Amino acid sequence: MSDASHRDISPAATAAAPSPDSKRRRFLMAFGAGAAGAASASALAATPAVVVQAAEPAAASQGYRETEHVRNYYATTRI
Amino acid sequence: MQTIALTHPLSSEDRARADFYALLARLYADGPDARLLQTIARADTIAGDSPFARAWNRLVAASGAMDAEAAAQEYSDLFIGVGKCEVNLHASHWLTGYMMEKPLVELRRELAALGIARRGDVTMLEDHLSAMCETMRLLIAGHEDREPVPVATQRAFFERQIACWVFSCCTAMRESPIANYYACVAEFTEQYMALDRDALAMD
Repeated sequence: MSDASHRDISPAATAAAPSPDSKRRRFLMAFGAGAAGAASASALAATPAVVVQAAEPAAASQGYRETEHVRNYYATTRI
Repeated sequence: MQTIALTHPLSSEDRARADFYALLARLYADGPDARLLQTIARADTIAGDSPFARAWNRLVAASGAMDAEAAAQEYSDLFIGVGKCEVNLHASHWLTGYMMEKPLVELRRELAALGIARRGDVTMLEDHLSAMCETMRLLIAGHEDREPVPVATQRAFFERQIACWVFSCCTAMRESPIANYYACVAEFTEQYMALDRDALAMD
């Protein structure tokens, strides 16, 4: 027996219940928070904060590393 | 102004969510400059009488009336202060009473698992409200070759790391006698977070 049969979703079932995504969309739209409207202007404002960004997972070593933070700290101690 | 190339097609509501989080990240990173105030002041108001619409419309109106110098002063008085800040924006403070406690360690572990880390040139802690909003934006919208994460992952991060303290923090801001512009920001934050929490819960 093929596994594929377990993954079949009948078209009727998909059409009947709205997906979580479309429920979410309608919910946010109903409050005015789903469309470009208000938020599009804030997109203009949306840049420089970037505090976090995608990164490679940190190395497994737990030993001392001279990170940028450590360098910054030492920089503040210089007179 | 630096612009970020958007390589990931997003639905309009996810685009809007990412933008609202980006806006909040900026407002909590520093007092808004004249350009940001003007941008918010010119934004569309939201129709209807929901608490969310009212909070946004008040923020739009307040941004038109506020000047950047006063905003910078208010940010500094509220969130930096002399010796002790009026309102602390770090999760660890709200969850344990102290800065840089266990919640920060757990947050760093979760961020590492998501492949997110603080930029080397940034001294802001990861559990600062601004960094949390920036993380949500990154999860929703992705960045360059980073894909947006599924809603379930967004929901897990939001519930574990944000929902447990952000509402208390917003109440403290709203009720602070020295908050003026940031009382509006806090009210909008509170309403937006409540809306997104409910949206994320739909499954």
